Order: sequence, then structure tokens, then C-alpha cells
Amino acid sequence: MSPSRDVKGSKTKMADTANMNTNVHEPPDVRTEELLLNMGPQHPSTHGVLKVVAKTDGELVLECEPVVGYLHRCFEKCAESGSYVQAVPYTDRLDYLMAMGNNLGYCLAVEALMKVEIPEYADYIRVLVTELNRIGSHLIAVGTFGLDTGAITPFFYAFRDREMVLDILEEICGQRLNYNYIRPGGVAYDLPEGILDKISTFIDHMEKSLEEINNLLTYNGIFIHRTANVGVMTPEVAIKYGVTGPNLRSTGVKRDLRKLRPYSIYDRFEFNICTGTGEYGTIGDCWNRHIVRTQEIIESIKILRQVLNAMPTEGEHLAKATARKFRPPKGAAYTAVENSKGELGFYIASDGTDEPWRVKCRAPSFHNVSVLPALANGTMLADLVIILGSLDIVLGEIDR
Amino acid sequence: MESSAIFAALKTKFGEAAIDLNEDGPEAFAMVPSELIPDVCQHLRDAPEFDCDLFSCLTGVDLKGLKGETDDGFEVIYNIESTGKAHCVSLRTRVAREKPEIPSVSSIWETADWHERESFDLLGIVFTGHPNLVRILCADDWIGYPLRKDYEFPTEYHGIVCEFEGNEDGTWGGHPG
Amino acid sequence: MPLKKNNGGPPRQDLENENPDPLTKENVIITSVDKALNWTRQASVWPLTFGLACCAIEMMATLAAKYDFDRFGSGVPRATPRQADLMIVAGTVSHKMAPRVKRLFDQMADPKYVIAMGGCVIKGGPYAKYGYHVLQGVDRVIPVDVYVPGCPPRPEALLEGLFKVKELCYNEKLSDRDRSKARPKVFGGFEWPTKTKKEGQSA
Repeated sequence: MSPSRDVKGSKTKMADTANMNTNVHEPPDVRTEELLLNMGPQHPSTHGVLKVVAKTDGELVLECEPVVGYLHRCFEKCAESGSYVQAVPYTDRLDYLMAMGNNLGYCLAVEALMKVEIPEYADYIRVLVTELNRIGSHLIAVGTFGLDTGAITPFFYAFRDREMVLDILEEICGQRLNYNYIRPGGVAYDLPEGILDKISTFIDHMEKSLEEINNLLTYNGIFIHRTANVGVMTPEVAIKYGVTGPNLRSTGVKRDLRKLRPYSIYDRFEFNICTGTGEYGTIGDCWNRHIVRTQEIIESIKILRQVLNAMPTEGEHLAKATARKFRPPKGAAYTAVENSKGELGFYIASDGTDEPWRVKCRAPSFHNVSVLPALANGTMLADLVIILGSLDIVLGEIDR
Repeated sequence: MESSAIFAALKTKFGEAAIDLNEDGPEAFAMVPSELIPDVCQHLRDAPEFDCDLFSCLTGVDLKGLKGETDDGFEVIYNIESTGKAHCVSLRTRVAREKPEIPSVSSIWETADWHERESFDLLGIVFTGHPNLVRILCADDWIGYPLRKDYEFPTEYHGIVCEFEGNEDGTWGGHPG
Repeated sequence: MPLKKNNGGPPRQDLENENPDPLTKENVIITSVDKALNWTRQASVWPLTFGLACCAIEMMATLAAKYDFDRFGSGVPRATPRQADLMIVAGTVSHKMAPRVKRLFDQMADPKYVIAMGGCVIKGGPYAKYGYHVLQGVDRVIPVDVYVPGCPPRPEALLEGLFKVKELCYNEKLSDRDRSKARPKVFGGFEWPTKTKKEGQSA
């Protein structure tokens, strides 16, 4: 034990101050006990019904293990029990923050089996709604990450802007969250009148608003201290655990399926792949994961501007081949898209009937949460919450 | 690397008879015997010309009752990708229904750990050599493997009735009356 | 001296004449204990921070800007069930989650209220038929006071559900405040419901 623990008389205290510099790195010899801490499934920081079992020693996390399955709602069984179109609403409820992206991923997988030609107008609508939804999804990630770090105000700013996205999407397809809008062969309905002007007004607003959120949260000194150099993920660890999306890009790996294997009409638009730069902290830490998401909102706005400029004014919104009951030929394929959380893949096996034989969803969050022990073991308990928040997981697609 | 070139290289390494190619469908794949899976996977990951470091997806499919299929076992599909070389490989293997055992690849890719647990949970495929092969999605004491085609839905779980109640006329959903 | 009913209008000359005390002239309301307590309770129904799935996002939207639950005194989501009055079961309840939901409900102090938000919680929703792992209605595990349908319900619908809870609060009597006694026996205590649903759902 260092002498600074002795608190008798003022003379000793003065000696303490003199000794402090030499003893400052010596940990006090205090015996502690291991404690098994059960975080969740009801916990405000687990972003749903995730359970984390952490073995702690004081404030240190020695080991932790995510336990999933509390929201297992049988997506794969439901999807193979109905027709191809009937499975679309179930895909909405996988990653319910990015329902349009799920619709798109599933429909592209069905179309890969069908080899159906999509009308150009429908392709533009798809990109339009998906990128809008991506902005909404990233706004939730940014807002709730602020909540995790103790900043409540950015949450309200983010939700204020997200409500504008929801208003636009609701006008397009009639729902606020689970859209069921993109269908195999196109989209369900044509765009309503005057919606493009509203989108253009929104993206102008969003650019200014994002600056506001950045000033309030991203470049806030307290926030940077709380998140920089916390939970550093190397590219090797990320790839080993199958981490994709903004989490992988924050480690410096330039992997975006929209560029790597352009699907739909993403090859027509110019945008950057945002990667962690290490402006603050280290590449691959919580702050860099956060900044990649805010930058991707800007890239989505860029894509939206190009869509609005290049979009044909009218056209067919649904291919004739899929307007009625359809039967893809026998075969199976794996198709992946870049969702807001990462690589969303669907493996669909067709037996030649109008119902899929097997639908398997490769959910990005399923992999993003599995990396948690690799990042959180050995950190402080409070950092576990920050790391979990920075991974931006959605339990709907982890448990399916 | 094109998938045909990858498969050709695999054939020279593991022998003509071991790898059965199929390039007609929407996705080209190589059919590999289940006991060879770890070797092929290890080679795909470690050989510098393949460099398959990202394990994308593992899917189990129940073949029982599939039209035009005499096999009633399971098919397991491995989708593997190389982030550096940007190519994808799809491997498939089959196991018998009576003894659905495949050597685990979780020591090669960490990602496969949870995927194999999921396939075990939902389809009952046993991955030998897996460090922790327990249920992942369903409750620990769940009975049966739900994604099998002959799965019977539970009528009761811990005293809670699970039987589905539709509308009186046998339809499902909508507004009754 | 009882005050005459004024209905919120301007001060009446006759009342001022009747009550000459300047301190109590316009500041005293005479009512029953029931009404006074219920009025305070309904004005601060604190919800439990308890989200399960998609509906939880709509619940968050209701708590956030634009819809602002706080306008109605419910903007203080509590992280522990022991401080909460209202449980909004928002999202699909799976069989794995059901015991936890029941435990959280048991940990809440009476008087407590439950809103079943969304189709899944009410009757299994889209997962009713093929969702082997989905509980077909949370009322098979805990008693529900207000059902809010939708998939997910709009924030306005959830607000309406909150108003229904406020109504329940307001109409209660102090004498029967232990609502657990009024609830069906199968849901009380720590036992799992063993009877079939039709028998169990008598109330």
C-alpha cells in the first residue's frame, strides 16, 4: 500500500502530495471479487432485448458474452410459408429502422432467381426511398448513441429530422415504419404528386441540420473524450467476425457493396465511401464509427440530389412479369445489398412453385454484435455501453 | 478471380472426383463432400491466390419433400468472400437426415461460430468440433427443430397455450365483422 | 362553507361576497380524497423504458420531439420497474422473453397499468400463424388494461391509449386500489397460468 493511504495529520498529507507523482501509476492493492453481471434483456442501453452477461472485477469487464434470441419471431419460417410477395412485409420487420433496404435486398434476391427486367422509373424510386430511409436510420443511430453517452438533446434533434423523413415516406407508401413498398419487379405504387419538391426541401434542410448535430454532439469535447480511443477495432478483427457496413468502414476498409458490386442503378451515381480517418482518437474506435455514419448522411444526400436531377418524370412502376402470381425457376442464389447496418444478404431457394422453399437472411447486426466480446473484454463497464451503442445494432434482424 | 478459375484451382488441389461443379443455375457452386469441407475452407482462406477472409453466410436447407429430389437430408451452403480480391465462392455439401453431422469451420472463421449454432438450433444439423454448440435463437429448452419441413408446431410451452386461433370462418387476420 | 360551482368562469360577485377571506377566496377547492389523489396520479403516469421491437421505435418517437409524451406528464421513462406506473409492452413478445415480461410486471408497484401496443402484443400479429416462438398475445402472461392496435400504431394512437389509462386512473376509488385482487386469479402471484386461455381470460 502506498503511504498516501495514511490520513493522519496534516503533515502526512503534505508528504502525500509530494509522493503522488511517484506513486500515481501504482495501482492500490485492494482485493476485489469477480462478479457475474447480467445486463438485459430489459436494459435502456442494450437497444432492444439483448442480454449481455459480463464477468466484472470492480469496474473492469473481464469477459462478456452477448445472449440473443429474445426477439426470435421466426422470419424464415413465416417467409417460406407464404408466397414471394407475402414475405415482403416480414422483411420490413427485420431491421425495422431501414425497412426499405430490407425490401430492396429481398426483392433483388427474388429478381436474381427470376431474371426479370425492372422498369427504369422503378429503379429510381427504389434508390430514392432507400437513401431517404438510410438517412432516417443513421439519424436514429446518431441520436441514440448520444443518449448512451449521456447527451439527451441530440436525440431530440435527430428525431425531429427523422420525423420529416417519415412524413415523406408515409406520403409515398402510407406507413411510418414498416413500408412494404418495394416489391419483386418494382415498387407497389407510383409516387404521389409534388413529393419530389418535398424531398428536395428536406435534403436542403438536412444539410444544415446535420451541421447543427455535429456541433452539438460530434465535435463536442465531452463526447470526444467519452468515445475516442474506446473500443478500437482493427480491420482484421472486423473481418474475422464478419463485421460490415459503417462499422467495417470505420476501421479504414473501403468496402461498400453499392460500389463493389453495384446493384439496382447505383453505378450511375457518384458518391464517396466514407472511412474512419482518425481525426480524433484512433481509426476504428467508437468516435470514428459515429463520424462515418454522419458522413454517410451527406453521401446519401448527394445521391438523392442526383436521383432528383436524373429521374424520369413518369413511367411504369411495376414489371408485368411480377404483377400477378409468379413462379421463379428452380434454383438458389445468395444476393447481398448494402444496408445501413452492413451487408444484408438473402439466400433464397426456389422449388419452382409460387412459394419459396427456403429464405435465409444474413443479417448485418447478427455479425456486428458477435464482435462485442473482442472489443469490450478488458474495458471499463461504462465503456461496454458506449461500444454497444456505437455498433448500432437492431435486435429485429439479429434474432429474426 | 472468376469463380470458374477458383473452381478449376480447387479441382486440381482436391481431385477431380471430390469437387462437383454446377454452373447452370443463378449461382455457380461447388458440391463438396462434408468431410472435405474444413480442408477446402482452410485452403480457400490461407492460399494467397484465394484469400477468402470474409465468411458471408451459412445456410442450412431441409431437402425433405423438395420436388425432383430423392435425397431427404440437408444441404448446407457456405458463401465466402475475399475482401482484398473481391471475389465470392459458394460451396455446398449434403448430409444424411439420420446422421446430420458436418465438421465445424468455426476455427477457420469466427463468424461461422454463431451461424453454425443457428443452423443447429433451427435445423438440427450437428457441427462436430464446434466449441459451444447450443441453441442460440430459440429458448434453451425448446423442443424440435423449427425449420425442418416435418416440424410440428408446439401446442403448449410452459403452460402457455400456443395454438393458433383464426377467425371463426377459418380465415386469418382482417377485421372480424 | 362549500364553494358554489364556478365552471372556470370569471370570479363571481356573489362568491366574493360570501367568502371575505382574501387568502382562501379563490384558492380553495373542496373535493373528495379519491378525486384529488386520482387527479395527481393521472397527471404523472411514468412509463417503464421497455422496448421490444418495431413498436418501441414508435414509442421512442412518441417520447421525442413533435409528439412529446411529456406534455401529458409521461415524459419520464424509468429504467427500473419499481419506479414505473405504466408498462407499455411495445413489440413482439417471444416465448423466451415472456418470463422476463412477467417478472418485470410483478416487480412494478401497484397501482400499475399495462398498454399492449401493436398487433403482436395483442394477438401475435403477423406472426400469429407461423411464428412458433411468438407468444400469441401478452395477455396470456400479464393482464392488459388498454389495447392499442396497429403494426406499429401511430404515435397518436399511443397517446390515445395513454388517455385511456388516465381515464382508468381517474375513475378508481381509494378503497379498491389494490387492483391485483380485482384481476383474474390466474395472473396474480408468481404462478404461471396453467389453465387454457378461454378459462383464464374471464375478466
